[in-house]
Amino acid sequence: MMLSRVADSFYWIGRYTERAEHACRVLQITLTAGLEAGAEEAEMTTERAMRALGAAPMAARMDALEEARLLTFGGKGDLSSIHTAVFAARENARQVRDQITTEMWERLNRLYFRVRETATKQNFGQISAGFFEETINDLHAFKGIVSGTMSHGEGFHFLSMGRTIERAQLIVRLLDLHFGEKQTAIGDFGWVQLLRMCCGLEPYLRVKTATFRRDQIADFLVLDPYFPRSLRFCANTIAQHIDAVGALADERARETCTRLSGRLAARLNFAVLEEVTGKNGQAFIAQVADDCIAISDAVHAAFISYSLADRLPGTSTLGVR
Amino acid sequence: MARAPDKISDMAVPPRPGQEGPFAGYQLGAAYDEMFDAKGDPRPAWAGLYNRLSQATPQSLRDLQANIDRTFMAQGVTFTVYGHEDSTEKIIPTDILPRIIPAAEWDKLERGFKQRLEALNLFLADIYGDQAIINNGYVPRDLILGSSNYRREMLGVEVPHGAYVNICGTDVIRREDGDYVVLEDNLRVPSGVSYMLSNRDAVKRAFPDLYRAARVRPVETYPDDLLAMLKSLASEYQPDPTVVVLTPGVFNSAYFEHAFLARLMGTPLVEGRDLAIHDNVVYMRTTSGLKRVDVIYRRVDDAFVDPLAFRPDSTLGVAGLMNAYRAGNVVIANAPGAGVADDKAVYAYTPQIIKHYLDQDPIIDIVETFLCREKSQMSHVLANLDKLVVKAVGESGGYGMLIGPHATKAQIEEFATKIKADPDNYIAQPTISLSTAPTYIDSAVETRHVDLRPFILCGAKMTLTPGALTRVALRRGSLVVNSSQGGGSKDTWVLSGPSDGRART
Repeated sequence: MMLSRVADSFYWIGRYTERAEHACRVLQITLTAGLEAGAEEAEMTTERAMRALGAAPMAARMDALEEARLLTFGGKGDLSSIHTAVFAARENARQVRDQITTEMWERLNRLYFRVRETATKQNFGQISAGFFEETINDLHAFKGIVSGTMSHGEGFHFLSMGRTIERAQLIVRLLDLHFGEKQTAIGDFGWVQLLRMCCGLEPYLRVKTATFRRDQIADFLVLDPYFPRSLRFCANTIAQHIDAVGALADERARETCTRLSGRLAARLNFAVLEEVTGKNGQAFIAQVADDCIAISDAVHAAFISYSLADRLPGTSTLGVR
Repeated sequence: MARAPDKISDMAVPPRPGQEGPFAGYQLGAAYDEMFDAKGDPRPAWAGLYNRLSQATPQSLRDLQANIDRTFMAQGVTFTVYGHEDSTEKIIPTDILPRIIPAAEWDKLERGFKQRLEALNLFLADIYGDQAIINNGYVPRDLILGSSNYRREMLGVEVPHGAYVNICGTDVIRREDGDYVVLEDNLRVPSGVSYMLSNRDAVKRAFPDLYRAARVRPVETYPDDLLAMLKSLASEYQPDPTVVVLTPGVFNSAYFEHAFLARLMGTPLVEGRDLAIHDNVVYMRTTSGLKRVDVIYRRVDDAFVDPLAFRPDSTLGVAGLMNAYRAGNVVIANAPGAGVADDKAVYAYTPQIIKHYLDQDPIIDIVETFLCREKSQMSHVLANLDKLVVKAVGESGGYGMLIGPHATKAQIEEFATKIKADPDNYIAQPTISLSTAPTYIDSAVETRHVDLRPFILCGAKMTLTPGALTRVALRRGSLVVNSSQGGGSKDTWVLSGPSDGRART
C-alpha cells in the first residue's frame, strides 16, 4: 500500500534519472566523436545524436559545442536539459523524502548541487568531458543505491518501471534516427557511435564480433534477450514490474496494464529479424514507442488517477480492500 | 613549543571570559550567562565543555563546524525563507556548542510545562464547552469570542482525552536573575523538533567523549512517543489506527520537518489532494484504492484544513474534514481552534487560568504583560514605548514587533499611532535581556542571546522529551531568535543526574 502521489513520484524519479544519464552519455560520445573534425560521418553522427535529444535539425552543424551546452544546462525556460532532468528527479525525491532512504536522497541531492554549480561555469568546452563522466557515475551509483538500500516493494517497482519505459523510448528514438537512413549512409564509424550511445559496444562485440552491419546491429539493439538496453529486454523488464505492482490494483485496471505490457513483450520475444530490418521496420520500432506510451497511460489510470467513484467502499465488487 | 596543558589545573591561569585566551571575545553583559557566573567562573554543569574549549585548537573547532554544515546541507536539513527568489532553501545555522541544562533546573521546568499545558487544555475544553470562565468574568468574553483563532465549529465537539493541544512548544527565556519565564505558548503547529533531533545527532558526533561523560538524557525517542501519542487519540475505537502527517507540501518552510517526522514514525506523509472524504469518513488515495485514515497529525494551519468550514480558497486541506471530525470519524491533532489559547493577550491571563482550573500557583512565571485594550495600561505603554517590547496580538515569527530600546524615534512614533488606532491588537512587555550562551561565531566563542523551546506531548498521558530546541539570535546583541529573522539553533543537553558535566577519566 502506497499513496498514489508517492508512486507517481517514484515513477518519475526513475524516468528523469534515466533521461539525464542517457543525455550525458550521448553528449559525451558526440563531443568526443566531433573531434574527428571535418569528417562528414562525424558530423552526421553529431546531428543524429543531438536530434535524438530534441535539438532542432541542423542545429548541431552550426555550433555543436554551444548546442551541447544548451542540451546540458538549458537556456531560459528550457524544460529538456540535463539540468532540468536532475532538478526534476530531485524535486520528486523531495516530494517523497519520507519514503526514500537517506543514501538515495544524499546522492541525488549532491548530484543536483554539482550540476547547478557547474552550470554557472564559463569554460564548458574544457569541463564537459569530466562533468559527463562524473554525472554518469553518480547516476550509476544512484541505481546501485536504489537497489541496495531500498526495499524491493512497490516504490522500487514504480521507480524501475519508470526507468525502463524511459529507456525504451530513448533507445527507440536513437534507432529511429539511424534506421530511417538509407542503408549506405552509415558506415562503421556511425554504427560504433550508436552502440556506444546505447552503452552497448562491448556487449555487442562479444556476441557479434567487430563486424558492423545494419541488420546485426538491429538484431542486437532490438532483439537481444540479455543486453539490458535492448528493446526486448526492456519490454520484459517492464512486464515484470507491472506484474509486481499489478497484484494491488483494481482488477479491471490491472488487466489493461498486463495486457499491454504482455503484448509488447510478446511482440519482441517472437519477432523475426526481417520485421525489424525490412521495409516495415520503421513502423515496427515506432509501434514499440506507441506501446510504451499506452502502458504509461494505463499505469497512471490504474494506480494514480483512478476515479474515486470506482473505489469507494460498497461500490466495487473487485479489487483489494 | 609549549605543550598544551592536559588538565585545567595544569594551567597557570584558567582562561577567563574577556581576557586573553579562548574566551577573549566572550563579553559578559547584564544578561544571565549560561556558562559563566557573574565572577567569570564556569558553572558546574558547563565545566566539561569549558575544559574542552580551553584546550581546543582553533583549527579543530573550525573543522567540527564545517563538518556539521556539510552534513546538514547533504541531508537537506533546510528551511525555506519566504520572499527570497533564488536558492530559497537554507540550512538553519547550527552551532557546535551545546547548551546545557542541569537536572534540577529541568525538573522544575518539566513540572511547570506540564502544569501549564494541563490548565490550557482545561481552559480550551471550557471555552468550547460551558464557557464558565467567561460567564464568571475571569476572562473577557470579547477577547475569546472575538479572537481570529476562535473556531465556533469546535463548540460542543468531544475531543479525545480532553486534549485539544497534543503537541505543544512553549517558548521560555531566562531573566537577568536566571529565572525561567514563559515567553509564549505555541499551541497550533509548533515546529522545530526536527532540529532538536538533527542537532543532537550532529553534536553527539562532534563531542562523543564529552557527551558520554556528561550523561545527557536522550531525545531520540521523540518520534516513537509522538506516534504512540497520536495512536492513543483513536485508541477508543481502533486497536491499530492509521496515522498520517498532513503537510501543505514541499513549498512550505517546514517541509523538511514534516517529511522527517513521517519517515521516523513510518507513517504516510499526505497532502490535501491525497485525501478524500465520503460519508464523513476520511480516505487516502493509495495504489491499492482508498484506505481509511483515523488520525491526522496536521501541519496545516486551522484556516486551511477545510475549505468548506474555513477559508474557501484553500487548496491545502480537504473539503469536508471538519464534518468528519465532528462526526467522530477522524482525529485532528492539534484540535482546530486550540490557537485561541496562545493568543498574546490571553497569555496575560494564563496565571489566573492556572489558578482557576488547578488551584495552584504557576510554577513558571510569565513576563509582565500590559494589555493595550485596558485604558490605564495603554497609557502606561504609550509613555514607556522606549523601554518596552510591543507585539501585535495576531502576529508570530518575530514579525510586527517593536523593541523599544533598539528602535528609532520614527519607529516608536509609528507604533504609538498603530496602538492608538487598534489598541486591542497590541500588548507590551518590559524588555528582557534573554540569557546568553557560548556560540561559535567566525572562529571564536562569543556570547549570543538564546531562548528555549521544549516539546510536550499530550494524549492519553503527557510526556516531555528531555531536550529542546535552543534558538540563537546570531547577530551580536540581537534579541530576535526566529529562524526567519536570522536566528540559528543549538543542541540542548539535559543532564540526567547531579552531574557536574566534567569529563571523568
